[in-house]
Amino acid sequence: MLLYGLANISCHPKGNSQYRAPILNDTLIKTDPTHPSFKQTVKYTDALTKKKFVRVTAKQIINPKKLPLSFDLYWIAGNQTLFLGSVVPFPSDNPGTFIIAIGGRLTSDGELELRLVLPDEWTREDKVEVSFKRLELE
Amino acid sequence: MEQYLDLSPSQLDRRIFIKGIGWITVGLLAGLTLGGCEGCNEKIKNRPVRRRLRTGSAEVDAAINTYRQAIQLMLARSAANAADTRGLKAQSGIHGTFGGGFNFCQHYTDHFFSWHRAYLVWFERICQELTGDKNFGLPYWNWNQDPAIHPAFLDTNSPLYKFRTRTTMAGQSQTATSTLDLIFSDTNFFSFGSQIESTPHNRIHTWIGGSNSDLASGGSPMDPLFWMHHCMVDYCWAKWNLEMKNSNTNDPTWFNTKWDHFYDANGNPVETTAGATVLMPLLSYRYESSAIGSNAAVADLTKGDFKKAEERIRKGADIKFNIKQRVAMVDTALLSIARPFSTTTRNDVSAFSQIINNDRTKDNVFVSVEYASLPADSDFFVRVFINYPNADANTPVTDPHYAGSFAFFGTDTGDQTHGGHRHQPRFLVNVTPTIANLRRSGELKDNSEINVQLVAVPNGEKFGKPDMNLRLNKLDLILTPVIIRTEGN
Repeated sequence: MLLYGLANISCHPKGNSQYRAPILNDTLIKTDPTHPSFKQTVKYTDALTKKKFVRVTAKQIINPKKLPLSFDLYWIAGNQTLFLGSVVPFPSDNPGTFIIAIGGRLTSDGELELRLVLPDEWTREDKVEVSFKRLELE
Repeated sequence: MEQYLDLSPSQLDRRIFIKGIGWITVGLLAGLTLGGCEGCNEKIKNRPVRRRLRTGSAEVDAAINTYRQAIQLMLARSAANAADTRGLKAQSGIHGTFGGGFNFCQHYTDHFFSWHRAYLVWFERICQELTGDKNFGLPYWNWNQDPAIHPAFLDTNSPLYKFRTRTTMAGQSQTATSTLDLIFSDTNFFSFGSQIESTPHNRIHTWIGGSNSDLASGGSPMDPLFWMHHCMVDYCWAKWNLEMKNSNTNDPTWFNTKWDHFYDANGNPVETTAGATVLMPLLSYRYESSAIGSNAAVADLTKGDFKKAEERIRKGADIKFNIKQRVAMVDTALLSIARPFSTTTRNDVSAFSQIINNDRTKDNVFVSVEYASLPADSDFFVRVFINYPNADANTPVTDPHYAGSFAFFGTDTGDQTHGGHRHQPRFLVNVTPTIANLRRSGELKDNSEINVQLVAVPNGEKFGKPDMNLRLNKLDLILTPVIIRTEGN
C-alpha cells in the first residue's frame, strides 16, 4: 500500500486558517468549509514510478444550493507544493469517482493533499459537506 | 478473447453514414437494402463543418444565425407540444431535466464520449432539417482558446440566451493549457475520456452554470450553450484521436453498446451503437481544427492521410474490458421466438450477491447472450427483463424490470460465415440500472436470486416465421469494472 490516510489539516479555501478534517471511519474522510482538506502520506518506492493517476472518490456530497465545487489535488514534498490537478462534480451535488494524472511528478516521499474549493459566493449559511474515500494511486 | 456481434467500425459501410439512417440502427441495418453510393466520396468531402465559435468570421456568423433559427423553431415546437420529439424540451429530456437529474445520458462511464457524440449528431441533423440548411455544422466553444462566452449567447433578447451565473472560464485551472496538456498527453482512451469529463467538462457546467441554472443541471441541454460546450468536448476526442493519432478502444463490449432513445431528423426513434460513433468525424461531419493547449491547429487531412486515418480508426486499439465475475445462467436451450424465455438458474443465491451489491461507480453488470447461429428471419428484436417471469411482448419498456434490447444483424443463409468466420451472434445488455432500481425498490435483496427473461418482439404486427426456433448457446451475467486502465495502449 503506497498511500497512508493519516494526516489531515489544510488551509481554508477562503482564508488561511488551518483545520483538521475528521476521518469518519476506515474509508471515509469528511470535508466541509471548516475542515476543507486532508492529506495522505506517500512513501516513495519503485512501484510508485509506475502509477499514473490519483483516484479521487467523492462518496457523498451535501450541497443543497448546488454551489460549484472543485476538488484540487496538491503534492507536497519538502518545501515544495505542486498543484497536480482539479476535478469537479457535475451536477454539483453528484458524487462520483475521478482521476487526476500524476504525470511523473511524485519522485520522492511526500504528501497528497486534497482541498475542497468553494466559490466566492459561498456564505457561512450554505451547508457544504463532501465525504471522500481515501485517495488511491493507480 | 470475447467476441460479440460485430458492429465494429471495420464492418460498417460508408454508405450507411452517408444515408444517415442505418449507421446506428441494428434493426434498420438488417432490413436496409443498400444500393450503390454514387457520389459518396463527394458527400464525405463536403460534409458539414463544425467551426470554432468566434467573432470576426462570416462563416461562423452564418452558423450562429442558422443555430439561432433552429433553437427558435425547436422552442416553438415544444411550446406547441411538449412531447414533440424535435422540440428542445424533448431533446433536452433525453439527457435529463432541471430538478430531475440525469435521464439517459452517460456520465462517469466509458461511454461519456460516444453517447454525447451520438446525441450531438442527431441534434445537428434536426437543426439541419428544421432550418433547411443541410450543410449546417454545430459550432464549438473552444473554452481553452476563447474563455469568454461568445456574445451571441449573452444577448438577453436572443433565444440563445439563458440565465447563467458566469460568462467566462478565464482564470479557471480546469480549462488552462497546463491542465489540458497533461490530459492530452494520456494515450489511453478510457482514462483520457474520464479526465476530460471530470475536469474541463464538469467545470464548465458548474462554473458557468452556477447554482441555479439549466446548464448546471441534468437539464443542461435546455441552454443552447450546452451544445457548443459538448461540441468542444467532442472536438477534444476528435483532436486526440484523429489529429494526435491516439487510438480508441476496439473492445466489442464497448462497440456493441446500444441506445434507443435518440430521434432522427424527422423525429422518429433510432437506435445507436457506440461503435459507429468513432467514424462520425470522418464521415458525417468534420471539425475546423484549432489549438487546444499547446496542441496546435493542424491542416485538413489530405486524401492519402484520410484513407490511412479511416483504416486506423476502424482498427482501433487493443484496450479491453475485464470480466471480474461471470455467473453462468444457462448452458444451452432451444428457444421458440413465439414464447418468452425465462431462466431457471440453479445457482446458489450467494453467486448473485456481488452482482446485486455492486458499486455502480466501479462496476457494470451485463447480461451476455450467445446464440448458436443467426436466425432464419430477423424481423424481430429481443427485449431483456430482469426477474419478471411473466414478461411478454406486450410488457412495456417502461416496466422497471426492463433492461434493454438487441436485434440480429443478418439472417442464417445456410452458409453461416461472415468474412471467413462463422457468424455466431452474441449480445451484451447492460442491466446495471435495472438491478439498481430493483434493489432500491426492495424487490432485490442481498439474498435474492436473479433470473433473466428474453422476449422476442416482432418488428411489425406479427412474426414472419412464428414457428422459428433459436439455439441459445450460453447466457451469463458478467460483472465488469468501469475501466480506467493505466497501462499503455
